Amino acid sequence: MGQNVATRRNIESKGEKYSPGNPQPISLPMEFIIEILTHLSKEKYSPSNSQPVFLPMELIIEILTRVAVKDLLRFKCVSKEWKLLIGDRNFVQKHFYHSPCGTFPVVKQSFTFLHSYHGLILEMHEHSKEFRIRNPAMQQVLYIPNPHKRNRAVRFGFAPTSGFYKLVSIYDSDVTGNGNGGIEILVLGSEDKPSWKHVDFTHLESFEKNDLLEAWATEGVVHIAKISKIQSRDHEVMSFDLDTESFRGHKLVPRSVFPDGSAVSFALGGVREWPYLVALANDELHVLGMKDCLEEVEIEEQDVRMIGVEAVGFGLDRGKHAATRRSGCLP
Amino acid sequence: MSITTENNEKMITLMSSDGEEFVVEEAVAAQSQTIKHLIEDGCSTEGSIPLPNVTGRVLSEVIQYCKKHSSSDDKEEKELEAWDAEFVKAADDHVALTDLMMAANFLDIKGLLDLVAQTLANMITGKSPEEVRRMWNIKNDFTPEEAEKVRKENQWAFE
Repeated sequence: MGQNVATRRNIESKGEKYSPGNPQPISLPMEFIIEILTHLSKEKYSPSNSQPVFLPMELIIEILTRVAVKDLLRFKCVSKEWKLLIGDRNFVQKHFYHSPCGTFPVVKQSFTFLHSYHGLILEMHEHSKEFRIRNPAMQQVLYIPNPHKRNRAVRFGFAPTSGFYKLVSIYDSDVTGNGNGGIEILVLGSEDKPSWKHVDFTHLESFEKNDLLEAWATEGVVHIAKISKIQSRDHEVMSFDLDTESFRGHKLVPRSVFPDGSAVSFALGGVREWPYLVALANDELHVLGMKDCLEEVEIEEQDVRMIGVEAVGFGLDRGKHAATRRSGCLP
Repeated sequence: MSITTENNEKMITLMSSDGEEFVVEEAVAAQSQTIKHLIEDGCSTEGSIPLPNVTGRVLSEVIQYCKKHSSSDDKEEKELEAWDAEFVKAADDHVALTDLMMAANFLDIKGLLDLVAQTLANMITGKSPEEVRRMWNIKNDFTPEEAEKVRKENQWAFE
């Protein structure tokens, strides 16, 4: 250490001879150069202290995807690069899978939960029937223009190719017969004022007032089940591709699967992670597996006897299709 | 030249950027995907692998981690978790952890990268943007107006 100080002094005293008016380069004796270089390399490899260090972007991503949302929002102020990163869709996706579950305050407003996807919640106002999408993590709310007034099921999903979230609304035919049922779609984030647009639907039978409708959105697809109350009719399942905004799969489901046309629900699970349609009828649990319908709706029927009908909800065990009792209702 | 121990374990030598040599069992070193690929590609014919991005100090920590994690397959997960917690506690400041993370990333040791990333994430939790900037020498490139705007948009995160 003492030697370093002495060396520095030597360099400084050399430097004193250097004057701005005489821009001749000074020459350092070799031993000084060596001393400076070893000093530099020592500093570089010195044990860590509180000196600031540089962190490459790929490692920043690794760290920030493990930070809670509230901290992330604050860190948007760190720099422009951080702000861009934290708002980036790929980052958001990665964060979604890494981050620990957060809890968010329940907003006491007259909105009913309809559907949740990618951490976003679709809700409907109990009285005004107004729809909104809420991001509880970011504390953001987006109000949606009203869909068709005869809407029966409104769901939203993500279209991976175009990168937009899209809402799908299915509406009934008019009771008086003056107007068919149909489907409309709304793209979020593509324009300032999103609006519903009608989807061509002519090759399918329209939805009847008596049909029971259930819809489920997964990545890129909204599955729709149409359960007919009329005994002579088969049920239908269809899949709507959110990217192409058209139907990609459509299949009739034999009446025997859900004989009395009672309430069905969608559930996700099973060994293949397909959406399953489940219904409870006559003490029996009926489960219908739906393959990703971009190829074809594949139907798997499983009847599982259930002991005791008082169970209000059930989950699907991996691979077993066994019904397990659970409090609360199906999602 | 490859050295083997009495248990017939193949040994390899890792050389740090500052010239320190570490002789470790191949199974330990192969926890690093980078080293594993180098061995598979025959880059260690001399039995020595140079690691120009990792200093001896950091490499010795990395090897400690790899030794523990290669020998404890049948041990209880809880014990390993406790060991991991002690391990990152020992490297307590963010500079040492950042060095360790850079090494884990370069050497491609997923478990270590996850562990250190989570530790650093816990460390910055609750910190102000200014504190985070200071930790990693990040330049605040917002104008005062821009900074105020971003802050306002995310006001609740500052409360």
